[in-house]
Amino acid sequence: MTTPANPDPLLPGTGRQPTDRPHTGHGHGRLVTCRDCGEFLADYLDGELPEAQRASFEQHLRKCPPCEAYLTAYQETIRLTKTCCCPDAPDNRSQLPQGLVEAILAARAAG
Amino acid sequence: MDGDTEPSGGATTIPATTADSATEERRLVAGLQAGDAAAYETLVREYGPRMLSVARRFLPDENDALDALQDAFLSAFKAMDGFQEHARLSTWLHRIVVNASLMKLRRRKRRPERSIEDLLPKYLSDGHMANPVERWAVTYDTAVQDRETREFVRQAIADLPESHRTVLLLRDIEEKTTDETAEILQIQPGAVKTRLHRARQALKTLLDTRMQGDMLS
Repeated sequence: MTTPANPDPLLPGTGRQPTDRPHTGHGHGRLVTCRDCGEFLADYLDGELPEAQRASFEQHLRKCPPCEAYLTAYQETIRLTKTCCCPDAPDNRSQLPQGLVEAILAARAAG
Repeated sequence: MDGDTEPSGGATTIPATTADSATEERRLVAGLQAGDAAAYETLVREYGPRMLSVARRFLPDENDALDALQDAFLSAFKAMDGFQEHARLSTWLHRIVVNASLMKLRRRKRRPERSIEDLLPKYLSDGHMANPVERWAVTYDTAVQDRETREFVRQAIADLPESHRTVLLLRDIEEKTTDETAEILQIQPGAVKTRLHRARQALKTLLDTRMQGDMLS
C-alpha cells in the first residue's frame, strides 16, 4: 500500500511498510514471492506499483500458476461483487413487508 | 445452476419504455411535491423493495435494514420539496438509503464480528502459498446468469466482518473513492485500502467452493 502500513486500528502491528514492497535487481533486492503477490495485488491492479516493481510482479505471475490463478479469481470476485449487487439486481427477497409500508405511510401522515 | 436469466440493466431497454418511465417518474414527483398521499404510497411500494435490497447489504440483520429503510423514506419525504427535476428519483433515493444505513451502523452498538484472518491466504515461511490454488471452474458469465449463485455472492458479502464489508460496499459497489470512504467511516485512507483488499481476499475465499465447481446444483 502506498500509505503508511497498517494505519487501521483493527490490525495493530501486523502490516508491512511500503519499503517491504517487492523489488529486484541492483544487488540488494529480493525476488517477488507469492506472499508479495498476495499483499500487493490491489496496488498492482490499481497501477500504483512503480514500474520496476510492476515488472518484477508480472515476471512472477508468468512463472507462478497459483499466483496467476489467484489474481484471476480476485478480479472475478470484484466483477461478481459489482454485478450481483448492482441496482438492477434485486435480491431474492424483494417483498416489502406490508406492516412496514403501513408504518412508513402512518409516520408521514402523523408527521 | 437454475438457468435463470433475469434481465440485468439497460442493455435491453427500449427507448419508448424509457420515455414512458421518465414521464411516469415526473408525474410521481409532481404528486409527491403536491402532497398527494397516493403518490407517497406509490413511491414506497414501487421503490421500496429495491431500496430494501440496498439497506440489507449494509445491515444483514433484517430488523436493522427495515429500520434504516423507514428512516430513509421519512428523510426523503421531508426533502421532497428540494428534489431537483433533472435528478433520477431512484438515484436520489438510493443515496438517502445508503446514508440512513450508515447512520444506523454508527448509532447501534458495535457487535462482535468474526475475524477475517481465517479467510485470508496463508503462506509458508519462504513466501510460497501454503495451500494449493484451484482455478475457478465457473466462469463469470455463467455465474451471473444463475440466480442461486448471485444470491450466494450476496450472502458471502453479508458474511464478511462488518468493518470490512462496509468498505467493500462503499468502494466496489457504491463507487466511492478511497478518500470519500475514509471520510464517511472516519478512518485513514490507508485503512480503507487495507480493509478493501482484505475484504476482497476474504470474499474470494468464501466464493471458492462454489466457483471451483464443487457446489453446482
